Amino acid sequence: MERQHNRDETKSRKNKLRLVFILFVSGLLVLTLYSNTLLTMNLTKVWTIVGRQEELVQSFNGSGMLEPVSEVSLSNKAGWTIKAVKVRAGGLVKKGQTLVVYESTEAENQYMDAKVQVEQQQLAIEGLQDRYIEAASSGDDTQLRSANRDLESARLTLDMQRRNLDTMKANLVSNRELKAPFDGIAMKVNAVEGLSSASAGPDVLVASSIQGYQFHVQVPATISGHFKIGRKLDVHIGQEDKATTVEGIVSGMENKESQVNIAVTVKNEQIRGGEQALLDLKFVSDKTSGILVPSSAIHKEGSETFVYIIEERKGPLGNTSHVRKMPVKTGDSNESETVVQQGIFPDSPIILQSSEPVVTDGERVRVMP
Amino acid sequence: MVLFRKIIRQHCVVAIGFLAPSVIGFSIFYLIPFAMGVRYSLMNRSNGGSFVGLANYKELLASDSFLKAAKNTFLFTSVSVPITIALSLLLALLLNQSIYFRNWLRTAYVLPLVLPVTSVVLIWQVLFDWNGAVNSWLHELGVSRIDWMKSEWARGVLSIVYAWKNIGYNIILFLAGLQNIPKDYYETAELEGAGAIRKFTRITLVYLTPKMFFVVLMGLISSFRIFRETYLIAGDYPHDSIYMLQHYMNNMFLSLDIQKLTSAAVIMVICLIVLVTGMFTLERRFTSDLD
Amino acid sequence: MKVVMKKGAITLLLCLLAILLLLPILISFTNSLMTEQEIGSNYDLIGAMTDAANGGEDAFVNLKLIPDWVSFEQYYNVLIETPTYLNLFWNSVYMVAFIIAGQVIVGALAAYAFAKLRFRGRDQMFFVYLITMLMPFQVTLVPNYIMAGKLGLLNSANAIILPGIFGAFGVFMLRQFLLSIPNAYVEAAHMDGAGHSRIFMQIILPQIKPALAALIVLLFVDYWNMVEQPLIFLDDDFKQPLSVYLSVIQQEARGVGFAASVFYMLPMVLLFLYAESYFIEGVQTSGIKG
Repeated sequence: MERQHNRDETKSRKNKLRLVFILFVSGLLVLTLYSNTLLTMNLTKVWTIVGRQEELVQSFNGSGMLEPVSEVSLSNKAGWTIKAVKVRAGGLVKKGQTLVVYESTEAENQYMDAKVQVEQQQLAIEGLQDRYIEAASSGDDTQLRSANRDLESARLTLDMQRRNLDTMKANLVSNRELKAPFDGIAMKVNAVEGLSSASAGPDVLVASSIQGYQFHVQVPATISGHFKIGRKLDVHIGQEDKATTVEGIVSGMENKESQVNIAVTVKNEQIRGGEQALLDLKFVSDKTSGILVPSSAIHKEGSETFVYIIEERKGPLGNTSHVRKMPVKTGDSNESETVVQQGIFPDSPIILQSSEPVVTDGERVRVMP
Repeated sequence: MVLFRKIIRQHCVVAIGFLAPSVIGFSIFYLIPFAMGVRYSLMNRSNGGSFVGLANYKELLASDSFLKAAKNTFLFTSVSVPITIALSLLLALLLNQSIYFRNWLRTAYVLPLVLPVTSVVLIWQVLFDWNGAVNSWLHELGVSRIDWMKSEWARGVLSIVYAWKNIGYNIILFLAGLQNIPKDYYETAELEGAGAIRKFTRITLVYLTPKMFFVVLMGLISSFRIFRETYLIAGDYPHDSIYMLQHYMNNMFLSLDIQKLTSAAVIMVICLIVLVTGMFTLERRFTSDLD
Repeated sequence: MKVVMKKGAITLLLCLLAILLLLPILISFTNSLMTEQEIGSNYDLIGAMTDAANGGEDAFVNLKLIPDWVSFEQYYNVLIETPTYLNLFWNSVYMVAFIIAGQVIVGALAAYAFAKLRFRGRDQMFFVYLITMLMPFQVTLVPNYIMAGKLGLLNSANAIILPGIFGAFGVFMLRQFLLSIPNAYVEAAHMDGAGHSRIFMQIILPQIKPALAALIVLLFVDYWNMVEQPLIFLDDDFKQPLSVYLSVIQQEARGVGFAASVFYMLPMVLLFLYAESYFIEGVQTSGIKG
């Protein structure tokens, strides 16, 4: 009886212990799941990307208005009235070709008058010579000196008048006609017959066809390295449907803060100036130069450039991911990507984005797929 | 006789079946490694070395640290194990009296066995540190403090921890032995006018001796295991007085001195074989005496 | 009256001793309920060199049994805040479960052969097992390491589990117990025409329950606390059993150490209490014969 009682007691104690044991183990199981989940949930989430080992493609689009490189405004210097216009706007001109003929009658008359004056002066000199001879023969010393002075003065006047006459003649010849100074195009013709010269701007605007046309574009500093004076580029001219592609040459560069002004010169007979010129360029960097990384993953702090990568560490929970700050050397970049030349391995997972604004070196994080 | 042989032959086949899993695994993980160890101990290098006979052993026996470790192990085993056994026997005798809460007390004595090593180490530190609790109690009593772990006292501390952990197990074993001694032996002795001491030596001890073999074996095993705690509390190089063979072998492993390690291991095993054979012989003689 | 006095006196003596023996468990438990701060202030002198010359004559750790403030902070840390402990705890469970299951099965089979069968070389073979059982782990450290490397077991739990399964202790313990079962049982069954496998399954197994319980408890206690083998064979921290991790961290985090120890101790205590009667019977019986 006693024994039976004892056995029952042991049995119930064992049942209790078994229950405690089961509760203990299942409690621990639940806690394990719970605490692991809790820990993982509280970690900063990061999204990563692996850099690509490809060439960096930098593209550039820019346009500008074509303008002649050199252009001269031609007008009549004396402001004469226009007699005839021999050129039309847009027309090709040859060097020396007459462009505008001016009314020169007035100038011719003045010239004739001046010529008459010279003749009159010669006559006057002849009279004075006679007086001089007379004075010499009279032996009057005073009269002789006076006659000599008058004669000299008259001769000087004659010289002056002759020079004037020459000038007038030259002016007359040059001003009578406006001639093209070089081969080119008459860009603008303001001259109107009957009006005086330069009444509405220069009579004729001539662009040199030898020096060609140029346009300006602004290039971001990041790709300006690809431009050099003398480098040849493809330039698209005109509207989309009937654009022609011609060769252009970089002819000038000028730094402006984060941008660079670049002048491209184009020579082509079709060009009349004023057309839209378009640059559509792609620069492909060397494949071996580095790893392509999204620019947003690259951080700068002072002079230091770095990326955050994920480092797998062996931990009690299996491998855990930790943040590691890696200083890098960067190269070229385009609007979205940058070449990292040194500092990371090609297969390093780089943190692109994180749920917290800041991640710190060594921090454990959760890497999102 | 013929029948007997037949039985043996029959049993042999069956035995192979029963033993196979154990023997295969046992050979792979214990026997063959030990044989390899013996071979290494006779070579000058473990990889492609040549046979050098007992040179490693000579070198080992000339090494101070080995001798120190061997001496400590021997001392600890030959002192702590018997003391612990004696203590357990005493407690078993007391427990075997008619007392209250016997089962509870028995459980309490066995419980230290289940305390995790970490706990042991933590409390060991708290108690026996230079600034530890034991020194603070001594201080209250006006005794100056003792650097327990960095003096000869370490051996004593180690023995206490060893006794504390293993006493309960031995008590259980002795209690069983005590309960198996027929009561009438004592009654007869009492009638013959024997005193308590005489009863103890003539009856109790005699009947407990067969148990001793087992108790000593278990005591040996656990005396080697105490290394774990010592290692955790004092690291690779504890105070000289508790620098055991296991420390020595462990350090040889870390410094990759395979020859010294294996030679030391072989010497230790030879000692064990001698010891166990001795115990066997003693026990056999004793049993035959008893009969 | 005199008998009662004597009974009481011995009981008192034994109780006092029991309390002394249980003190470490008590300390572990009460200290695990202290706050990290309290633990810190109580024990920060451990390892510090103070002496009279430094004016630290009276400076000692403050060993207390009752917390100033009962707090579950350490338990929160161990069980919820840091999943490491629980994760490693399952490593321990995994390894120990396989070792125990394996060693019990393999050991029971071999023990039967050693105890109940007669064959040539039996006693010599058993002697080899016995010696191996006594060898400390360090004896076969190097060859074991090389062997594990050859078998591709390094840094894998199998490097711990497999040698554990084939440990000699189970064979020894069960053989001792089997010796106490009279051969007559086996012989009688044999006469009835039962094969050895049937005898083993139907007669032996049901009878060795206490020994199995004792073996399971002892193996559990031993392997639950293993430190050296995992330290040598496992490189990855996350594969270690909790016992290794606790022994590594206990220097810097004493408070957590106490809580973790208590929580680590619980399975052992529960198992022990559950199997106590069997355990005691098993230990006692296996110790009867030499």
